[in-house]
Amino acid sequence: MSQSRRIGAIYRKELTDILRDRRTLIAMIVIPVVLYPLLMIGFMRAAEGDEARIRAQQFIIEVDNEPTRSELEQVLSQYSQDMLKQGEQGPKFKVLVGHTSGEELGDEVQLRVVLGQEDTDSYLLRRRVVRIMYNEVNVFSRTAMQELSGVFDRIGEFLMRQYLRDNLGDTISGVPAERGIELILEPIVVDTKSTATELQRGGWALGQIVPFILVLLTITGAVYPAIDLTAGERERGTLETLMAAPVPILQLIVGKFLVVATIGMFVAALNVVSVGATMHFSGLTQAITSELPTRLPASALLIILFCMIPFALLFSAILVAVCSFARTFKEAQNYVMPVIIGAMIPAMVVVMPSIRLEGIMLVVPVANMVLLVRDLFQQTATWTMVIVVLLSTTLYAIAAVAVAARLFGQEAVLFADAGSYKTLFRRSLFPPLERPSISQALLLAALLFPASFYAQSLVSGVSQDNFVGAMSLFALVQFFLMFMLLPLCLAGYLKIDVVRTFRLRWPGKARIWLAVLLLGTSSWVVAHQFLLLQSEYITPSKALAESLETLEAKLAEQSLWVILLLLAVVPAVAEEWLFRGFFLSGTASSLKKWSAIIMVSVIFGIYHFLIDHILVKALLGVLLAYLCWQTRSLLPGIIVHIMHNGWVLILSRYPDLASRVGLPEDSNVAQAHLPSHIQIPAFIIFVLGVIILMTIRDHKTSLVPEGGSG
Amino acid sequence: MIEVYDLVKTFPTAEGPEKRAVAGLSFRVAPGEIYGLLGPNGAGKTTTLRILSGLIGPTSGRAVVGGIDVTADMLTVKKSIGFMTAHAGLYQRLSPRELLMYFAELHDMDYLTAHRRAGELIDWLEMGDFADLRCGALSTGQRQRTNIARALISNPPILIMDEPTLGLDVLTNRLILDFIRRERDNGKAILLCTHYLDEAETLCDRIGLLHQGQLIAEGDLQSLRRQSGCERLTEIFLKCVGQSGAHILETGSLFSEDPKA
Repeated sequence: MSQSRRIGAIYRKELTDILRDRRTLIAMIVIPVVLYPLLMIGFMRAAEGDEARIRAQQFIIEVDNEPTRSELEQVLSQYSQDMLKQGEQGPKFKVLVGHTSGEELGDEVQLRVVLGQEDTDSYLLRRRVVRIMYNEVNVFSRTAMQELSGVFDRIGEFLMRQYLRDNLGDTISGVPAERGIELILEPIVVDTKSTATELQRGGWALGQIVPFILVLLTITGAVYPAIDLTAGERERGTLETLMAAPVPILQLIVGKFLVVATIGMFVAALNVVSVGATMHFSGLTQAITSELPTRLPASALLIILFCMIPFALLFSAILVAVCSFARTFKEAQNYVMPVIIGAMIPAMVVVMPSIRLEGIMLVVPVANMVLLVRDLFQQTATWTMVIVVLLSTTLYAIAAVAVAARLFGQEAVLFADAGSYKTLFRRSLFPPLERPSISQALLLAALLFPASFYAQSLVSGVSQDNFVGAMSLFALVQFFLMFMLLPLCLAGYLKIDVVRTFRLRWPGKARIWLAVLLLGTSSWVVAHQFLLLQSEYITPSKALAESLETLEAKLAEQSLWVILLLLAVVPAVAEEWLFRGFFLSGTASSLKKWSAIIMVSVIFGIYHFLIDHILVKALLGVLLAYLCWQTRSLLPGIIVHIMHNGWVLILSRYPDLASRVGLPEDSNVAQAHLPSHIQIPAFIIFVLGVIILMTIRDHKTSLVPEGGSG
Repeated sequence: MIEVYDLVKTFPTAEGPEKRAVAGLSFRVAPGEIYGLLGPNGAGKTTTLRILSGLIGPTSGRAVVGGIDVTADMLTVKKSIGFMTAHAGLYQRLSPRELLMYFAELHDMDYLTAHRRAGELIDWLEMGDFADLRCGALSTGQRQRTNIARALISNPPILIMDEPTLGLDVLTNRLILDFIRRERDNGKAILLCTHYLDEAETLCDRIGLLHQGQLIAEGDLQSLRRQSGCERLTEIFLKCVGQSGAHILETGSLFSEDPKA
């Protein structure tokens, strides 16, 4: 039976099972559809009513003596009458003589006021001082202070106008008095005008709120099914029977993970729609932020729904992984809390406008998704961002699923009597392995990914000054330490057979060497033409053109041997070691031949962060992985890889040579079609190489030469 | 059908020395035979069954089920086994029929075959009255019948059952024991663990007595009686378990005859 049918069976069963649970239904439907809108409306109404009530009440002001009371009373009553004449209701104050101390101001007496006068040199120009004492932690006292200050601000302005009118005559510098007074009172007018459209403003406001809500809602929806399907299964005693069924653990976990993701997405979608509708129909949108347009564009909803998918996939995968470790429901709940908090913190970065989606942020889990949602709303996202973020999120999700499968099947996790968790990490108890498991491979891929991204973005910044130095450092850090030493150490720690995993074997057959020669000579032509073909459909990114130009300029200055070593040999050896060594061996331990080859090749493509190169590198990855699979050795791949990189470098380094083989002299090598006398033979040679590879004995399920369990 | 050679399983513990749950166990179960693995709590019965069903790996030794080494290809081994655990839970919100269909799908069975097989098992185990109720509403006996049906849905040649009659009333007990005999007569190799010695006496063709992870006596009821000089299995069992561990370690057997013979 196909894997997908079995996963489908698990998916259907788990979905039926969980949807029949009343608790799920309450969490999924009742809470978002009924409870949230009620809570929101109720809360807003209560808040509005409360504020109106406070403002409508009569505020009590205390003063020291009767003359002050009388003066203040008179001013305020005059003000009230003036306001009434203009058809407005001013605040209500009652002035009393009293001696309430400053700390006691609050519910009973809101303010103490002292009226004074500033000492000035002029008899005529004197300024009154109104000292208002209030208690800022008391809402009544604070509101009373705001209202009273407002009153005196308006009285002050009135007095000023009156003074000017009395002293300046009918005209002021040739303009009528009223206009002149306006000009004096406001000598500079600052008029700001935002050029953002209503849509953009709405996007900006939504971008601040929605990502955070999405994180919260997706997690809320996914938590219960994640626990129920893993730890719950164990607690109910159904796990042992399930594990005894002839289903690979990875398929079990994938089926369960898809159910969690479905429910997470559904709950989040329902929440978004419910909250959106509540805000729309109750007029709460304006209450929350004045920047939101009165009607949200349909595209906003589409963006939200689109972003929910990777969110749900990532969180479901992480939650399933975490809960797979738990033996009981309660234990799982304890593990879930830190995950939620861990997701909330990066989700909060969006409120910091200075953090942009660039550099390392592109690959930081959760934070990159949150920033992407923000940028999508603000319409500043580029396709590169979308692809890098989505691919990296997918990679993390796949790694989390693989880890979940690993944990789910562990004896110590499966049976309480099979030893403690501590034994999971004790090396002496690890059984020796022929090759890494798929979860180990994918976890390493997910962990190395942001590190490699960071290394590449660093080197692209440094290489301007000292090219060879920067490339050497890069070769040391990324290729030697990260791509070679790390997997080697990991293999040593996990007691993995290094010779088999990295396929350290001499491919004896002459046919293999012939294939290597043919493919190594021709693959660059195929890749070159493919890139050109791709550029007809997808406009090449600026970043690509810039980086190629910089690279070519740098190459021209260096010795060919240094270039070949740093840009052909070292990357070829290291990438074959990691991708066709550790990763391909790992994925091959659980997947069939072509699934394993394609998965590793996609990862290989994603690791080349230049968006234009992802597809062509993935295809090159397929060729190299197939080569490795057929020959059961890493060496042929290394040589083809070196030759592939080498040809491109040589032609870029020596433009003369390029023109001699028939390329237009003045054109950029990377952007010119190769002449047919190169193209046609190269394609024939390439196809011949592949045919020879196909004739080598096919190892359908196993990469291991002999005695493999496959 | 089931062959176990010198099987050892140790469990690591966080605190100190390893726990040796199975310590050099060897036995065989032939097709058309019911083999009873008996022993006190902690003797290593459940661990042995888990190794044979591919749930956990042995530390050393070999376990061959249906001609395949369990460490070499667990999936194929799992396909040839119907496994029933002692405290197996059921999916509370599925009906027995849905449960059977689910496991049939996991066993690669096509819909029509699965449907027919589920119908047969529901008839044979007299589950018609409750086959479409939710499992959460079933009685202990009904649950146990559902579990047996689940283990047999793929019609596997080998049955491994841990305490199949635990906590059942007399009627259900008889129904299940008759069913197990019938499966034996159909040529299945059946390995079961039970604490009910009377039941083992009448049900099992051969019996292995397990103590501290080792087989200390083995044979049909007649030969066990002969070896021990006791009439009832209960007496034989008590005699075995009552013996000092030192004696067992020294001779490798409770009785003078070689249990592996």
